[in-house]
Amino acid sequence: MPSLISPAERDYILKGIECNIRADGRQRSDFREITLETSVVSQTSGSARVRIAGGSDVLISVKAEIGPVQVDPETGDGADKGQIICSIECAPSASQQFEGRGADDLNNELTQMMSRFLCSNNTAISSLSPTCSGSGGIDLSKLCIIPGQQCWILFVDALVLDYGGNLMDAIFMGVRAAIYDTKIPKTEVQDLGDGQFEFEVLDDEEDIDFVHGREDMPICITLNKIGTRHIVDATLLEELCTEAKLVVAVNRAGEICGLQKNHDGSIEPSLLLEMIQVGKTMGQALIKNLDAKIKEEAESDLTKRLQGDPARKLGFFAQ
Amino acid sequence: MDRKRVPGPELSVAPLVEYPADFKRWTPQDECRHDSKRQPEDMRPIYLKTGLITQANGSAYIELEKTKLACGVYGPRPIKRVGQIFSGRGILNCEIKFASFSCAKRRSNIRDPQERELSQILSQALAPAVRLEKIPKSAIDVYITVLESDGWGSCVAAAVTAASVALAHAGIEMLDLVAGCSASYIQTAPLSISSLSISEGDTGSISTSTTNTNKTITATATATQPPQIFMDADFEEEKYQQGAIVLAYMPSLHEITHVLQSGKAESSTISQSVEHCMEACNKIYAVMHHALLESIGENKEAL
Amino acid sequence: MSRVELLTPEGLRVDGRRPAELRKITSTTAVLSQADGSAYLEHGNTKVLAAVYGPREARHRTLVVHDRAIINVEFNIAPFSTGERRRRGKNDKRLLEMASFIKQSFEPVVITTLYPRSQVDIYLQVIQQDGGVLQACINAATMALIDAGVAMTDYVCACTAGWVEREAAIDLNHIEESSDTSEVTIAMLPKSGKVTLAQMESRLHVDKLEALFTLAGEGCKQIHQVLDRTIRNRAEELAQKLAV
Repeated sequence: MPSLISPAERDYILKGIECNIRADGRQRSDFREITLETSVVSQTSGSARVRIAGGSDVLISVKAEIGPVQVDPETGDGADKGQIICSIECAPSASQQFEGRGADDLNNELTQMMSRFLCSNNTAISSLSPTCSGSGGIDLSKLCIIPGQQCWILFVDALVLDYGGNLMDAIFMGVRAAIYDTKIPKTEVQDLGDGQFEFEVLDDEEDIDFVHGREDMPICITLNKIGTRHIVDATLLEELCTEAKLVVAVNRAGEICGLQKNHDGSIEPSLLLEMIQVGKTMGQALIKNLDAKIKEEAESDLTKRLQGDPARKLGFFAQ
Repeated sequence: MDRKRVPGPELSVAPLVEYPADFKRWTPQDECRHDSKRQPEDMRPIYLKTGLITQANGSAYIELEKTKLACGVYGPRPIKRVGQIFSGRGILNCEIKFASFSCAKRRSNIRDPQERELSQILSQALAPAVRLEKIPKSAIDVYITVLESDGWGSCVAAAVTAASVALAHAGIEMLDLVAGCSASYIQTAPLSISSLSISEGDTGSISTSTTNTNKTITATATATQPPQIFMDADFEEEKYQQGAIVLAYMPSLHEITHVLQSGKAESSTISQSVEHCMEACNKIYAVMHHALLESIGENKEAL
Repeated sequence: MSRVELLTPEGLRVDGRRPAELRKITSTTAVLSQADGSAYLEHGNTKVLAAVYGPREARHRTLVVHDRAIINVEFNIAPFSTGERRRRGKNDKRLLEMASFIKQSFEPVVITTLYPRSQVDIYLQVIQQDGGVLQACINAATMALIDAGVAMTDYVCACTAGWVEREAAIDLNHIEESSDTSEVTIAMLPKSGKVTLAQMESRLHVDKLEALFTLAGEGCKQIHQVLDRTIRNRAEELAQKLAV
């Protein structure tokens, strides 16, 4: 797919957006059709696959592993918290520019953005404010097994298989679905006395914990400023015409969990505030729909399992 | 075995600092800021001077009390390897590096992923202001070294400011200067315990050998007020922040070139902080002007 | 540690298969929108995605050959593909080695003289591993190349074979691979019976080699039929769409 766009095509897209008609017939605030499925990869604690029609395809996996606690040497913080480590990788199959080291910059940018929105890794959030558990909403203290020694580490790995524009939205939706689907086995801790603890991971498939705070995870909406208007869910060609891109991360309660601007353009302050509002309303609506669908899928899976039928996952065969 | 060298120990840890008994750590619940002379809407005084690096086409040095950083600009100079796609615009290439002694925890000498992302953010904040279409097939290199960092947000904001001044000092054509500013949301109201509940049953994680501790008391503390906006927070204050925002703004054109917000916040808090940041950027603009005029004055004397 | 019984007295393997039985193969083509050709293949629980770009202009001018196309293979394993998460760098020796095996098996088959001064890229992504990764990758790459319309003289079908306790078996899964068996991977052109890749990393007595080779050859022919069916179905679908 091109990384160049002709002036005629650029003009066509610009004029179309002014009249609220985009190249594929959508309006400025319309999303493309989204296909979402959870539990697609079998050896993980939780996984999801998001596919935007004719565009991006991402596969997210969450693996819960046990590891040592990371303590901040200055504040002594973190001794009773688990960790979330994110990584996003664009497969070279996703686009012509991703060959060899071409995707490194994009990988880094996406990974840092996700870490920032999920766990605020730049500055330590003090344990003095018990309500604050990182903007990702996930309660890290519940992931601790033995305070000061062992905790659950959630590795969130996103693999971008196909790049058709609007990558961040797809990744975040997938991460939210994957974490919703994540099952962490329960652990039993025995106090051997003398400050020594021993724990055992219970192997029961039915006796599992879900990640606490998973309903408060944010999703993001990317708004692209083209000309004087802004659009949602841009295709590749529309992204090439974008002057400035604003990523708004919003959670179920309507709080803004992160904002980041991209690309080499500038935004007028009033337009910025308007875009934030639009992002917020759209985000909340999207979360509602997403949650309804995920719950529906989880319930149908459960009924199938109780009846003894294995849940058939479409995986890649879903169109 | 390597007999020529005496290696240090394989594992090294930072020493534990013991504070004296009367040392009082600053908390947000104290009525004032960490630096008691400042109000929540005050920025730290800025010292900004150009011409630090004589080799570079343009340079600037900025100090915000303890945050110190130096910026050098080289360009426009020809691109070493012309890319396969010709675009009519020049390239703005920013590199930011934290010196290994700049933060409380030692940073490595190689650029880590966070610095690489910051470099990208910086170039995105400056690019709208520079007239790149005037210099096709050329590149402008901006190198920033952070000598001491007192607050991550203020570092980024200072980097944007210093880079703009250095670009102007180098004589590169720009549409406007970009001023950078940061703010933090800190909960200052004392937390009140709004609900107390005692629940039975196991906690799921710790089962002790004694039989009577199966009840858990959960206290949910909720803040009654929205967080307060502290402009230009330093390192001690940032520890308690619930969220932060960094803004890069062009005052004459009245356009925002970059916004970066992390942590949870209501949209009303964000609009308020954006306005505060814009006002602060206007004040910083005046400082930038003054520094540039001074440098012209010096040049005239030198001639 | 109790040893897993790889072959029951009745002659059934760990997953209930007979020694000369393949795992269930499911595949689709044209799964990606950006790539010129793509294929997704499943050998039981081993899932692989292949994408082909090309023929297109060569990336590095120094590698260009004036009278033929160069084939460039990139092989990538997802960190969540194995039981424990393991992140591999871009220059991992094992990945580079697998990529060069695959390049070697396709070079004689792709009619590169038709595309001088250009480059054909094959990108492989392993999503889940359960033994037989190399064979799955080669099969997926064949389908992706056909989907992209790159000229080839024949299909390249690959199959693994090894000794499981006392019987020769094909299409080994992870448990069988990680035990003490010696495993051979063969990539074959089904029409002519020629072999483009034969790879083995363990010790095997030379008397037993021929049995494994013949068995793997049979496996390749069976795989060829499955892949061929998928490609023909897809071609029929496209023909129907064009007719309308």
